[in-house]
Amino acid sequence: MADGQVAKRLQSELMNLMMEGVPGVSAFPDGDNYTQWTGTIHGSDVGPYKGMKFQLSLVFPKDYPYSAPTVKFMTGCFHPNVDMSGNICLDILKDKWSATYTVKSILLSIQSLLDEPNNDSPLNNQAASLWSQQEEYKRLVAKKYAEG
Amino acid sequence: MERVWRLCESSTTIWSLPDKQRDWTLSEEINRAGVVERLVLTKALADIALISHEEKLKTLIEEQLPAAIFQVHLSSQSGRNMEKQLTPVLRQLGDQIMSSRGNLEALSTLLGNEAAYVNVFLANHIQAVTEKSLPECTEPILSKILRDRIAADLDGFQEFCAAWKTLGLKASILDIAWESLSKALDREIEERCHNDFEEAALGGLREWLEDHAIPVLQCILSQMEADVNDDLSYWRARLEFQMCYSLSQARIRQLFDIILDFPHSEPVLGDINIGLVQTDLALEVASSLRKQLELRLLHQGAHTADIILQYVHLVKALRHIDPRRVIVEQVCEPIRAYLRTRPDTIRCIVTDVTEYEGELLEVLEDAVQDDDDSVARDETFDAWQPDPADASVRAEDEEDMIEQNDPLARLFDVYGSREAYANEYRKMLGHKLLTSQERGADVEREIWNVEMFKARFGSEAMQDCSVMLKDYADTKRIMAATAKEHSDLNQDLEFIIMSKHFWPETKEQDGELPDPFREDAMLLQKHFEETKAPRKLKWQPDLGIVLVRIEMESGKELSMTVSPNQAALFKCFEKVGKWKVDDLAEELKLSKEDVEKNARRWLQRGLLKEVDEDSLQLVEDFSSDAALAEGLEGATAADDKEDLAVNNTRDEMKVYETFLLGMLTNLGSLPVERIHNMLKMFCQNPPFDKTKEQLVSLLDELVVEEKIQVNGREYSLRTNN
Repeated sequence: MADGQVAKRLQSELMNLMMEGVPGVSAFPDGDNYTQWTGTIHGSDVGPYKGMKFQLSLVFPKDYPYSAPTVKFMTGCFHPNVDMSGNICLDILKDKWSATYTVKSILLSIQSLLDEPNNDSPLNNQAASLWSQQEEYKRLVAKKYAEG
Repeated sequence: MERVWRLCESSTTIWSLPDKQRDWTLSEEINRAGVVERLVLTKALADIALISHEEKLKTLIEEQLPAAIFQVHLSSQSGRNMEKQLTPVLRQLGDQIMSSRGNLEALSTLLGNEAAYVNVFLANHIQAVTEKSLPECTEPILSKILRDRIAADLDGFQEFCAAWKTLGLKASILDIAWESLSKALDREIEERCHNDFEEAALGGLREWLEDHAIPVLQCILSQMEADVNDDLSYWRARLEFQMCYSLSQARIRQLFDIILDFPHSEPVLGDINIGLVQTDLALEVASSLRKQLELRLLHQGAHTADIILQYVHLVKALRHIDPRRVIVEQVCEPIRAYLRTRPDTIRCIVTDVTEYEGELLEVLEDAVQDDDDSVARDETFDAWQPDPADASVRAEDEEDMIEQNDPLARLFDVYGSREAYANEYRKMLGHKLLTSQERGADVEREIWNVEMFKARFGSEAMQDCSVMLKDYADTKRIMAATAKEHSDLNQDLEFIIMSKHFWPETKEQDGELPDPFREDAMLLQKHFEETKAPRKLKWQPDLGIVLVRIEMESGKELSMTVSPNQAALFKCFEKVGKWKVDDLAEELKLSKEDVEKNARRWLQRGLLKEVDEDSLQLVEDFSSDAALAEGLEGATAADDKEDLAVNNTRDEMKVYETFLLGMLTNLGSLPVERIHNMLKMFCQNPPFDKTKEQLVSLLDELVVEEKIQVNGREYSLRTNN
């Protein structure tokens, strides 16, 4: 029964996401069921990630939405709160998770995280220290993005 | 004797005489002849008949020969010396009988009319003179006689059997009797299995068995030296089994029609039942029924409502013959699968349920009862029977079991989710509440319906409908309260509150309430907003109905049912006979399109006409031809529906397109099959029910619109670089 309810919740989230058409973020299940999705985030038009498109994987636990999904970058991303294997450090995905968050709010949070990193708890120290030097930072972002 | 031989020789001469004279001469000669002569003469004639194939002569022989043989027999009993003389004649006759099978049949036909022992006597003689084996000589003759006896009467049958015994024919008579009894049984079954299904054939057949078949067997057996009772019970059991089997088979072939006729054809089901209990026909029932259903029901020509009705009858009918629901499981699944492909299944089911005499209604009622008498179910414990070995695997869970056991209930699962039904019912309820002219009575009925649905689907699913009904009750209360304060409130007016989010979505048209209602409406609104704060009331003047009576200056009168906005539009023409569409839009606070839409009804009715491109004018002298009006109204209704349908598909397509683009954004490029599968899996509201071909044409459209691109077999988003 629990599985059914997770599917139901994700189904309605998908429906909402599709019908609202939130600009800059998108996601869709990528398998034969609802537990694994692929998300897409476009960098905002003003920050260092302008014009870039990042793919993420979202894996939903069996007790979703009572536990947060596991979200990772699949496209290489040079960012203070993203490590080399794509793990993201974002409070709402960890201890600040609430059942009211949705795929849409997660993706929008990550999108805004791109331009407003939390340099106090970096996963990528190099990126954190370079943040103040935007030119160099942008160069490394572009390089990492080009590597895929 | 000399005379005989002379006659024989002269028969050729007689033959050469002209027709009339010949017949007379022959009869004369035969009548004058003595016993032996008669036989010989007839024999001679038979010779001639054989050679010449003369029909008339054959008839003559057929009349004469049995009598002749009979007389020979009688005289042979008085003095054996006759037989000696007869031997050569009989030998010849016997040879002749054996010489041609056709002749033999003819002979046995006519022999059948004579007393049995004559025939046996003849057979005896034939055997004696032809030295052929007895069964060879007698079987065709005797089995024919036997058949006739079994089919007709049993007079002399005892003697027949006795003669049989003296001939030493012990074994074969049973076989022949069995064979002909089986055939007779088949004939009986065919005769008794009418197409009117008014009564079971079983009782009649049992009687026939007792009155006809069993005495035959008894006769035969009693002449044999075996233990009659033992053997008889064996043969009786064998016959009964045969009867059950053949009868069930015959009925199974008619099963589709029986079900079609169901409550009326109920007695006939017993015929099948007996077969299922005593034989192994259960599988045949299932396969034969499936075939008949596919051939006669599950095709384009059948209405969905008919299929559903037949399904219901099928389930009910099979309850009688298949209490463990083994066959039902196998037969119903294809129907459900087929119904799944019909777009109007849900509507038909819901309509059926909510109609007063709907067949499915009972299912809902049952569900309500089930809740009350769970104790009663325990009492059936003793009556439990194990499933037959061929039953498909069943759910072990008790609750599942009950669910699964009710194939009618499973009709509601055709689409997998019950929300679809709740939704469809909600739409119907909305429509009814808005347009019903006898709302009070209808609502009472609907309250009951909602309770029924609740019992089956759970109250959660029916929450919206409950709110809608509560809205109606609230409206009543508010109207009553307002009427108390303002005694001048127009009692002919009825309003209904539609709680947003709970009622089916409607296309909103702006516009204001027509003048005469406005004041009363304001009173109600004030009352509502006072008592129900913070809820607000927004009028939807395009919904609902107005009964208008139009009186023209020319004296013509007309009554119509229209929407409030349509009424408001026409009311504008009360004072001014000609309006510009733009002015009307302003006056009514509607968009131009809505004005045109509302005017269409009046245009088609011939009360308005279009003049000067963009103006509407009142037609004083409209045609009051009712038939014409009706036709036109039908057309309007159809128009509206079509509009709706087109809108629906377009909306649906929009949803599919969004899903498709979302899918391709995230998953890169995909082949059609995958896209089709994923849409089917993830796009559920509206459910994706298009075929792969339809999907391809949608994809192609998007390619043309340059939204996506196709690369080999895979589609992907269009890359802009």
